[in-house]
Amino acid sequence: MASILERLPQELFLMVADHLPTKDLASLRLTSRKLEQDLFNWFARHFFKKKQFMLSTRGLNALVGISHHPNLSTNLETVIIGLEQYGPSWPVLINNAQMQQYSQGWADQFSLVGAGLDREMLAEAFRNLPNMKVIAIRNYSTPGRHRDNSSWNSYGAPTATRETGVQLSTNSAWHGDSIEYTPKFSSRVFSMLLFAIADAGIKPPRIEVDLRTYSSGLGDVAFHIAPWGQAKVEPVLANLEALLLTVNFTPHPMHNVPQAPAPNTPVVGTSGVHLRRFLSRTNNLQHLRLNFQQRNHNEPSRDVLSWLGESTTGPDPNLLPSVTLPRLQRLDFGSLTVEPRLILRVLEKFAPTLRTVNLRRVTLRYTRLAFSDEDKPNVWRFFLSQVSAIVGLQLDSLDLGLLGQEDENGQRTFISFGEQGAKRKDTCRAIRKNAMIRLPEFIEEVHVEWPEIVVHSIDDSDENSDDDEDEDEEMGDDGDEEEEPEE
Amino acid sequence: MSAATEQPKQTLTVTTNDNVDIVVEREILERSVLIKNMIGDVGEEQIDTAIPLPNVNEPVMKKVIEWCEHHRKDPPAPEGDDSDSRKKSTDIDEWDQKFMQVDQEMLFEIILAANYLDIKGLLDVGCKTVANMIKGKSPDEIRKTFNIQNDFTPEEEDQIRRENEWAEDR
Repeated sequence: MASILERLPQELFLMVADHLPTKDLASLRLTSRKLEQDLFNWFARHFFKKKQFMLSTRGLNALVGISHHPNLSTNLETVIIGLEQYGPSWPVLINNAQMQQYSQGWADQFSLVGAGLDREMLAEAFRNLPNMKVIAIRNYSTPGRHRDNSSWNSYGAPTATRETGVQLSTNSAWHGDSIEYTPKFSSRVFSMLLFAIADAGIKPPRIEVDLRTYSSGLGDVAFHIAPWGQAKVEPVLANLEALLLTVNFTPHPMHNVPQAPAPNTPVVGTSGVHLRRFLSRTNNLQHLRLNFQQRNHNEPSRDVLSWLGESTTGPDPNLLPSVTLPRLQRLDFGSLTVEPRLILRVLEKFAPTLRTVNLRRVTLRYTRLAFSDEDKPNVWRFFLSQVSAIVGLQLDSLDLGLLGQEDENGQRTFISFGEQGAKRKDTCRAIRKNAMIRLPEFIEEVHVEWPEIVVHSIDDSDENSDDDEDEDEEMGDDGDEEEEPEE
Repeated sequence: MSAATEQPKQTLTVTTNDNVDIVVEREILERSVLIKNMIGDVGEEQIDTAIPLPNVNEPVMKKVIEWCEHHRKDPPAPEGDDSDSRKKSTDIDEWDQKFMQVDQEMLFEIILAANYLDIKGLLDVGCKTVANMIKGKSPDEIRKTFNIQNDFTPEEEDQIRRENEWAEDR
């Protein structure tokens, strides 16, 4: 009689398979044609719907191989590029074998990246992935590979780690030290990826850059497109529906020059000029996310937001006019400190189309001098009541999390949510339906967590160290922290 | 707990597909969502009629009842509980492990019955038991364990090996 495995109805056989670590699943696939066929569709969805690859020969060979596979290529919907990187400095090694592996790996990656072979290989793969909708960059592994007690790592990275004994850096330094104005690895990969997409002649609807750990975000140069490439990339940008970015702009060097502005000239910040030009080419955007990874400099996010909120005629004809983004439905801002009015102006501008707003790790800046010493202003209540008064704004959904407010001395307090007198208060709160109608009631549940005694510290050198430990909790992947590539 | 106030235990009769009537406590039988729903559908007054189980024979049903009896006080499986940590672990408690020490044919029948009768916990233990029989074995050892004939060409094997490699955490 045939084996019980072969006689089990497929649905039950898949339940058995679901309990197996990948290694055992792999062996099971090799036992017989019948079992392999029973497993195939599930196997393909589970492991190949969404997949992350390292920029190494091993990683990219796998991607190209999958793209040439008649049945796997159609399953791949999300391609993620991991930022594991050899170098930039020589790690403390280890034994001779590992040393050799490390230099071999470094040479391999240098050749791929230095000669632009990564772009060629990616373009080759992208041409053959008919259902790819999302192209992403991440510098972390997504948890949830429960069957192996592991995470969804970049393909190629675990082997590199095993061979070298070194956990490769994903923190983006490029060309030696991460001097402030030196382009980062993440920036380079982003720029390369755009051209790989253009080379392939495809127009994916979503590009997502989700970077954790401070300073790994894209620099502004990532968004510059040299004239030679503009015509090529423009169709890609013009077709984008969702652009999710983690940026970490250093202030324009101008900010550091003590220079009195000429009288009567408004000081217009110029941070993020390349991003601005980039966004002026993405007129089809429905979803824009900007995570700023901001810690010490407020200027970049302030500059970008005030530009984004400007009317499209612009205050200064010499500067790039702002964008219209006529289809923008969802806007997410993360990790920044700004004045409430800058966000309000952006919301006002996009009010006709905007349906979802997501603010995470946003700190509102206010002037304490406007209040007496006894006053304990609740800036978020003020802000939200202003939001509810925006003419034409019809939000369905409002997501708020890890908020704060900060006075002109950098004194920061945090925001919590909950009914008055409630024991447990939340740091995150979302209204998922009819946000505008429910907003007035919701505002009552917004509280400022004042410290017992307000101390105006003179030495505020550590003002920004408070959020170090959860820096890796940037506004991420829409709550799919436990995700698997499978549904 | 006071025995005096306790209702006499209600029993039900099921008829297996080999025409055997088995009398079981209602509480035990209701571990089966299928039977529980059937009772709900026919109403309390018709409960005396034997419930036909056209897909299960007597020896298998006896095993199923044994399991349900041991697990009669288990909390019901939460609706839609597919949490990955639970699903992916193949830990089986000791009693269940012993219970599942049966020949492959019986194991197969228990899984089919648990699925038909909709007894989530038993189905889960059955699938885990089979998974544990696969774990740690080479393809050849799996074939031997389950009496599977290898019908691949060497080219097909190569192709599957390559796909496996891409799926693994490498």
